[in-house]
Amino acid sequence: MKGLLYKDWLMLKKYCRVYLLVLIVFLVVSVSAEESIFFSVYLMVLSSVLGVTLVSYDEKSGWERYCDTLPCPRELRVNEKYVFSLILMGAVFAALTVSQVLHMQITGSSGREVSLTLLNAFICGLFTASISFPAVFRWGVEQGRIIYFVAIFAMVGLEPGAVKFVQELSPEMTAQLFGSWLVSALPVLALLIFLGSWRLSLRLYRKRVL
Amino acid sequence: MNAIEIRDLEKHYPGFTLDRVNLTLPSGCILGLVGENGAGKSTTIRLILNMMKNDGGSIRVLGAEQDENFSKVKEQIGVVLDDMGFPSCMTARQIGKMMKQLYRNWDEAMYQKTLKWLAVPMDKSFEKYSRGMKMKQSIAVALSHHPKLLILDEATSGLDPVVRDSFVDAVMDFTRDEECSVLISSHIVSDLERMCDYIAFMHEGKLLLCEEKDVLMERYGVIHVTNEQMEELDPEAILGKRISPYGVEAVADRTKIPEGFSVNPVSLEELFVFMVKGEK
Repeated sequence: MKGLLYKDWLMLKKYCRVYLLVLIVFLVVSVSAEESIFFSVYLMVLSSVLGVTLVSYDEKSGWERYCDTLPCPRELRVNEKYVFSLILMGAVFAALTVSQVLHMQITGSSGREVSLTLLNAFICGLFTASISFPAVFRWGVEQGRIIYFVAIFAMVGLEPGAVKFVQELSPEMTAQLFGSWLVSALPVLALLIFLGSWRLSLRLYRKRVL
Repeated sequence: MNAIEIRDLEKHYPGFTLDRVNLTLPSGCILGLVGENGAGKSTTIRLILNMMKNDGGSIRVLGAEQDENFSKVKEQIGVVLDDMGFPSCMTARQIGKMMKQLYRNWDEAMYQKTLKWLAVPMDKSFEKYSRGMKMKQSIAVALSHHPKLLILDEATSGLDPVVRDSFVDAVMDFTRDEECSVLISSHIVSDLERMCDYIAFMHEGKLLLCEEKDVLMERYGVIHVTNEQMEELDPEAILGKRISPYGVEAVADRTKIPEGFSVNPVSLEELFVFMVKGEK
């Protein structure tokens, strides 16, 4: 797997520099912005999408097909993409946590608000990857991109707005909900869905004709 | 041991059928696959490499079945395909580093030596390579992990004549070790004629023949006869013929031609073209 991780790291450095710029700008903005939830969710979704973007580069260069001739089973290739994606999301989540701590000190937001933002970002990132990966492993980037775009739109376009709407509609209910076991269960559920998606991708990619 | 054993191999696509192909590549030998575009050469190669599932028949590579452990067998196979690619941003140096992690037997010194021999720059990215240079890069990777079997699909296309000549020599050197074998498909039949021990002709998904090259050259020849003489000959003796205002040119089985006919040596290219295009 090390060889594949090395390859993806080189590709990320070459093709995704602009994402690094977006990451820095959004992190800086989210520190001082009053509504930082959108920026946080956007960054996490972006980081989860990068893994899928790398699959498209593999496909375009003919690497996927060539890889079939190497002692590099398809299972390993799927595992590597999920691991690489987790590493990216982990790194962005760490940066996001730091920015949210700063955000709390600058804007005086409550710890509860910041935790909710981070929780949201974490779940949205995992969901996007969970939906996008099986689609591209099954149909390829060309055909799987519809599902991939729907996932991004749902997470970035709708989810933060929906959370904000519920918060404004009933602050008491949100506070109650936040204190309940349901909130702690959500990240676990997101992780379980992510693991399920991983398993599904393994099965789908094994059968795909390249 | 045989390097490759194919029995009754079948693959069906809409508009194409690979029809019960039987092929054996003995260890230490070079087998050339000859056929037009769409004859089934690349499909056969992809099936051998387990890149797709067959619809019937069986394949054994280096004595192993194509099961879940086939990835270990791939450690011993070097492959150059016509349409394969490395990630565009990677340089030869970076490709070497990556391959070192993928192949247990990776020989960095040999890789560097082969790149130097093929004049592949170490620090130029793959996207900036010419087609020939991309081929050379693939050849360097295919040779640098001490494979027991080389599978080359149109590997000489895109190479300039000088490099192609050296490459043919390198392939012949490779099989000096009796454990090492080569399966090569190419449109450049003259290359195959020079290096192959066995020749297999494919046409429209069928294997027309698979025979030792020397036996083929000995058995078949070209005759130039009149229409009247042609009618007297046993039709079984004629593999293919071409009729012109000046007479008939045909590839014939020497053993079935009566004495007195002048039979000239046949090249592989003539043999193939007459078999596929010539009238019976």
